Amino acid sequence: MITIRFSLIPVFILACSLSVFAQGLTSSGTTYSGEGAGFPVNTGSAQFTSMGIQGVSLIDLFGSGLSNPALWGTVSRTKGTTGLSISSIDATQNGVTTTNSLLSLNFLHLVFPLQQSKWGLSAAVYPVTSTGYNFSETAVLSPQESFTGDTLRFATSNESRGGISRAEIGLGWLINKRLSIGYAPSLQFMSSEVVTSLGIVANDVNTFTEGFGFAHRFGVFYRIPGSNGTSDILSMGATFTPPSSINTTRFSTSTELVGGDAQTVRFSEEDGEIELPLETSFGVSFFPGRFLNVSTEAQFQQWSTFSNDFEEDSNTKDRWNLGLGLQFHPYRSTRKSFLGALRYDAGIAYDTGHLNIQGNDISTVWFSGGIGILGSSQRRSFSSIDIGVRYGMRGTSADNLVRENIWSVTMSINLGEAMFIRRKLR
Amino acid sequence: MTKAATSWRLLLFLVCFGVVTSQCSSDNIAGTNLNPNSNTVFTDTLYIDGISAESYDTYTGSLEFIAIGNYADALFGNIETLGIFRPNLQQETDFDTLLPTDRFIMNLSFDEVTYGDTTAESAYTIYQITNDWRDQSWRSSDQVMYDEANPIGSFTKTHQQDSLEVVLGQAFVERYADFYNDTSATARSQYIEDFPGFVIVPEAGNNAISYIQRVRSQFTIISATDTMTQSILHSAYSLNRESSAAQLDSRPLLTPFQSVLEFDTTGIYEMAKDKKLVNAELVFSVDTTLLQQSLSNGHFREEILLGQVISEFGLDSAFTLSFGTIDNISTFLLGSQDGAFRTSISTFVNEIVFGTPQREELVFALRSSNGKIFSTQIFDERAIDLTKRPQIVFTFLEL
Repeated sequence: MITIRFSLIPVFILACSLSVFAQGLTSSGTTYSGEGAGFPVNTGSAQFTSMGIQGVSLIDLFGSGLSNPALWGTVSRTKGTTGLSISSIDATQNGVTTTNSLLSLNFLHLVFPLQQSKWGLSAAVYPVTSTGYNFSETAVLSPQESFTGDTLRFATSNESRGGISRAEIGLGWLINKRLSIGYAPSLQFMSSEVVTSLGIVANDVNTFTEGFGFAHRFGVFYRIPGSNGTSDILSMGATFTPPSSINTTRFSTSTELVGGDAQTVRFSEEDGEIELPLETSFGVSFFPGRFLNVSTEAQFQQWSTFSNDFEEDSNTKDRWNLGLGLQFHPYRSTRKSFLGALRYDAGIAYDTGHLNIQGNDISTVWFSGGIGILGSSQRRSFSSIDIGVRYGMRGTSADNLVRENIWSVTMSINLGEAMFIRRKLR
Repeated sequence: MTKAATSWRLLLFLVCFGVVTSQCSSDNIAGTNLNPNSNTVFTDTLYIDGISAESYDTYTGSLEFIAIGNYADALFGNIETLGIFRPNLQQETDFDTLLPTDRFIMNLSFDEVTYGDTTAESAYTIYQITNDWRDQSWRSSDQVMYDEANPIGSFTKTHQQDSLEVVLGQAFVERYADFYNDTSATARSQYIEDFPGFVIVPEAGNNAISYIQRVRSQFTIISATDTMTQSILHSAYSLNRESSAAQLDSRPLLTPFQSVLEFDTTGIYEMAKDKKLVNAELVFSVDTTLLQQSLSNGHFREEILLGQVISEFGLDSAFTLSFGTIDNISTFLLGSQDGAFRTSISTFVNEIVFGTPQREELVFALRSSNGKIFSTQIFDERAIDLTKRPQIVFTFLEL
């Protein structure tokens, strides 16, 4: 039996610290993240990401189940999960390829069983969209436009980071052995910054978009155990998030010389509203036996209704994200070997994307796989570390657009017992 | 510890290490057409109204050039300047006694530029000054009193002459010798207090102004046995100007600052607030046609290339204009292509938009000229051609 003897608590704290650190380190992600309110972020843990699904139809014994509020009523012990990912994106346009890297926080989620396997209280912080681009180019002003009287060439760059996140509290209720439901209201907040540098201006211009609104998420989960003593299980889950809005303020700052001193001044302030779309996810998972389960899930986001007062023309469209994945659990038979102690995940996903630019859908195909490093059942440990690798192909090279090849490594750390369960004295 | 547990430790360490040490890089060439930020700039023009002409009685002592002469400028009026001098009193050991009969020669070195009629000869007479004066506090309008009945010298000058020797009269030498021969410790201070020096007065009918180079000019005193030189200890000049008729759509600018333009900055705040200023350029256009047409053949008026805009004067406006010791001064450069003075006033605009400006008026003047008389004619708000009117061209970043 393999044991994770080192304490997961420092690792959990390290991961949380890295997640905060990651927001500062975020360099640039997809070149398409400047559209709309950022690029949609999937909130599933590394385990589900490796399966290409959201995880709304699958009970994860080790993870906290952020994807579906209905799953929180099923927990019998306090759980904490956090995750982060690092992606390398090769963006190709007209034969020119550049590489962008993105280190990002995925989520932080805690679930407390108010009544074991009956009521569960959830608290989470997770991103909804993410903006992370960095464009550099040369601008040219004609003599008529230029204040120097001559043609003026200067370097420009725009670096953006931020997006929409939610701080969510929710309840899950296991109504009976088969059915559970959940509800999670959240405060969602927009916080993004674009740093604009012009070669003809001494100081950068920082443009912030900030604001908040409220959102709601509903979930349902239904589990059908096999009849007549068979070990097969069929589970179904769905979530629904109604449209929501964020009242935002956009303003810019820069450092100017005022009264002989360098001061940060604020200007160009205006208010607006961002309308976020309806979202629903649903899926089915089937456990033919103890060692294998297969899941298929779909996610729909009605981005065609999206609006942003600060964006005149939006290229958003409705988005479908379809996934098919499976898990293999060899540890349930024997955990004597190194490889036999792991859980294996694999999946494929097709994301139609939420953008249509010049008639081209910015879709993504994902191939993924991962492992779960699980805690010791002998020690009644329900902690684990999930590590996944994904490869995706996004966009198109048609119409002067960008084709992206993405390698992404995700990691989730699940704490199930180390911090929160009092052990009985022997 | 089992081998498997060691493997877990190593794997976890490598994952954490990889995350922490990952380098975020971006070359960012591809996909710039997907940049939602325009990075474009746009311009807006504020035409300046409410221009008024102001005069400042500025300092004309101890400058590099001493203007002497008179000139009836068809555009800027009649200008007369009188140069005043006090020789140095440096007692030489091998020239122990100065006699009234010794020769006292003024060696004048002139700048190559002559303002006015370069074809005519100008005559000057030198008189002893009868009032006290101090070069450091001398202003252009200060009047010099002199013994008009007893000239101590005279000379004529043409444009081509770059130097002259003028012998000063015995009355002057005799008075100077009294101080030179005084060996007491207070002789020099007594000299500065009681010896007023002399003035060079242009004769009526002259039509040119010349510039004496202070550093290159000196005095040579020759006795029967020895020769010595004395530099110019103090110098200054007075300027009298009778303005000519005003123009319909332009105003004169002159140094010393007999005429500067003052204008308020109303409108800057409204135009620049809530925007990212890239540049604010103040533009004054020169009426080059009028400048050329107002000069007769053979007459010359030196073109100045530098102007200045002043937003803060300090306690002594005239001193600031003359010597420019306040930080809030922007220097213009006259453009050779469109004949306009241009300078950035971005700092001043930021002061108006985000701070508390010391004063809401700006003064546009020519740059101090170390004693030379410069002039130009600036189109004002009455100019029919909008592009010639005084204006501030703002360049903003499109946000």
